[in-house]
Amino acid sequence: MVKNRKGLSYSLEVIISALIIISFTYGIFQVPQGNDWGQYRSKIEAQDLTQTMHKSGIATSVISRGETGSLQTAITTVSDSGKEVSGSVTNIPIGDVEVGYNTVDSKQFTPALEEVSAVGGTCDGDLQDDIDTEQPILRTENLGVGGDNYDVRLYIADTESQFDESVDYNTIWVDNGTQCQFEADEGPYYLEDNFKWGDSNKTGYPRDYFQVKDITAGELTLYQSTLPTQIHKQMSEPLNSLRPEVEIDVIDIRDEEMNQDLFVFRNSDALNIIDGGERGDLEEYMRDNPVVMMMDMSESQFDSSNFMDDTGLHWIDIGFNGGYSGGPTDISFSNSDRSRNIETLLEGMEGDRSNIQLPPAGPITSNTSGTITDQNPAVEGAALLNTDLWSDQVNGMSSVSAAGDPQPNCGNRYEGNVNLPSGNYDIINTEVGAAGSCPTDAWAVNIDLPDVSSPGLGPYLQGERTTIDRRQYTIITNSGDASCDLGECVELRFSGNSNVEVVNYRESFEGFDGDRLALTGKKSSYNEDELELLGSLMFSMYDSEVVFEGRDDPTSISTNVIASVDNTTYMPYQLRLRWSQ
Amino acid sequence: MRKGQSTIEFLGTSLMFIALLGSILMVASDSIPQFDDEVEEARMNMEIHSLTSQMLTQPGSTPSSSNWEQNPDDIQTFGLADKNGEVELSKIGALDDSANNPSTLNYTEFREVTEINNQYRMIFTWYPVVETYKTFTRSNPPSQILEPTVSEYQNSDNTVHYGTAFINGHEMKFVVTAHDGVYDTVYISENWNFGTSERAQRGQVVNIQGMDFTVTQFQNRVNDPGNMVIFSSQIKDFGAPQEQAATVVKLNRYAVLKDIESDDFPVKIEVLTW
Repeated sequence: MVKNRKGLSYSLEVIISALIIISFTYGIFQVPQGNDWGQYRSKIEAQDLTQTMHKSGIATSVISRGETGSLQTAITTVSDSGKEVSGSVTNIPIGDVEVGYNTVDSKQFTPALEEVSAVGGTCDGDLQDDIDTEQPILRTENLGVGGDNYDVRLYIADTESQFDESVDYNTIWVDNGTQCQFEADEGPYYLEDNFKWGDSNKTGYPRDYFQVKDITAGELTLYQSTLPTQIHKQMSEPLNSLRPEVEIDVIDIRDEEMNQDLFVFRNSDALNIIDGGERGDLEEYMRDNPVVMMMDMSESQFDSSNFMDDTGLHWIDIGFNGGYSGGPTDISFSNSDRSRNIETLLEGMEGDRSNIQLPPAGPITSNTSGTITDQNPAVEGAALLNTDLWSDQVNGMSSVSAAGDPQPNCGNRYEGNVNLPSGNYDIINTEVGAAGSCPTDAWAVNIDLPDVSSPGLGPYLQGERTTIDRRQYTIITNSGDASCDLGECVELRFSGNSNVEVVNYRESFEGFDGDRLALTGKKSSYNEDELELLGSLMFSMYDSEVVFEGRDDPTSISTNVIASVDNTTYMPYQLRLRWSQ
Repeated sequence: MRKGQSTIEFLGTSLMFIALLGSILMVASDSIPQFDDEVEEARMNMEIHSLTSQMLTQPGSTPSSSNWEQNPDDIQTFGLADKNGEVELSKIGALDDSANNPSTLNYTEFREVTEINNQYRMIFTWYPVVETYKTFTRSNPPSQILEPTVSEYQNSDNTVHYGTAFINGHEMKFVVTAHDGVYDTVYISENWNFGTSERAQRGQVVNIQGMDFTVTQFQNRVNDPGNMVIFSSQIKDFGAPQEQAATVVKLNRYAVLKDIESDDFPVKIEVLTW
């Protein structure tokens, strides 16, 4: 019996040992999963195709015309097994851009209408012959806008009446005194179209543009759209061989939703509308979309606007320097990314910056760089802020004991008080030098600021800079005044940027989350180069990204190309591609 | 007689031991072919990548020049590139399977200079991509264009696209038309007089300056339909005849074909190895 149990136990040991050995053996001979060579080859092909499309010039040529579908066709055709590609193009204005413009009450018109036949007019017959309509033709009475200014009537007809009785009047013609002989630019115009209502013989009045907003129940509603139309014309011209498709839409944000790619407010009256109940809609829009404001503001308008306060823009209360009162000024560009981008776009439009004078919205700074004026604004003006008021020169300081810091010193020290916008501060000016080297005529200034331990901020040698209450100062330890002994007079000279900001720009805001905001002043009229600058600003703010989808879902294989459209100016873009297997 | 050691437990244990040895041998012998296949595939993929990368990035050389195609007998290193990603037509033209031609590089010589282990075959296909983004309304062409006279042209859609491309020493003119909204027909001419031009549709072969091209594709996608027509022509087939092999690896490479007589167009290089 015992022997049998022993034998059984030996057998069990063998069985267990065998199982263990088999497990290890199986692990040793397990062949690891091989590489996915198919994906490896696909990556190589994707990289080759991307570079080939770029080097042959096909990619830039078609992308400059917004032809993302042509790029896809070229790639799919040239590749084996018809690879599909999805992707995006960024940094150049191609594709469709819709720009919204706000209108205020003073720019909305509802000219009175009359039936032409009812008042014995003759154009009715001419139009009646040319169009199919069952409704009486209307025209504006010769009063008010168009009437008083131009003696030019609008004729309104319902050209859909034979198709749909429910459709109201929908078509407008402009009779520039030619007895209903309409040129191509005189009609027909439909809802949302922009037309010119004026008379070229009457040069005393501007030839204003209007957008047809509504023709309902015999009432015509027009929104003035002169500036939007002028800017649109420049934005629709070829830009460095690029041809973006630009549309404009003039809306009243109290009545219609902001859903355009970029929105422009062009009257300071808009601030009342924004603060008066549209703030929530505007913030909602600004979360993902840029806004441009073109308005001249007074300090009281700026200060009373909660929206302006929450943007973080800052009104400089020292005003402008010299004889400058805030009107148009020459412009220049800085080293900021936004400024360079606007400059590149202006060059692409062949705008002449020497012919551009634009006003700032006010003595306003973007206040983004930690200092009260920006060193690199989006667009800078030649005119200056009155920053001399921020400097102070202290003369006739008192000689005091040189004991104590700053060390080492030569035993000469003066004490005085400097008057800065943030307050009055004690300063000391000490002749510094190593033992045996005195006199050195080298002086250092310390400034007694709150929360700075004795002897204060510093020491600063001649020409050094410091920031006090967000204002940058250069320290002049010997102001050079003829009445001063060495060290007796000190100047704290404001050395930040004194130039006005013609275009203020912010990417973050103090009171809400938002995308981008640009603020500039407004002129009564603009020349072509100025309109091109405004168009460049619009394109820059838009930050175009055109996305296209392939016919198959993309995989994880992706390639990038950074290339440029290089016609009149170097304009880089980025092409990102994602490939199907 | 002593009691024997051949107990039931001993027999069972012996059988277990034999079974263990047998299973180890079976597992090992099954895994070796799979492992061998993985190694072979890896080697082929690495070699084909290395060879084709060299082709697309290096010009190749003789002792005195990078223009080995002028003197293939003296070739020291192989390459097809003018610049990285751009291959020269003259170098592709110097590849020739015919034996013993001193002015060409045959396959045997190619294998010697590249020191490759596997067999290769390369097919070069050139794709002239013609951009036809300019348009006119049928029957109202620009003054320099004489429209095709064939009846199919008269039945095409109103918007007609046109463009030019420099191919084989001549600026060729192209007109593209649509039927029922689909761009499907091209007319080709050496000048703007398309009066005698025949229509060509996808898949048809056309002769442009002495070379046959297949009309390969028309651009019909959004942004923008009609703006492109693509041709293709196989310009070289070089290498060993393909064998029935256990493993064939295919890698497609792409580059720009540099030819002073043509615009820059893509070339596809289908490389097979076994």
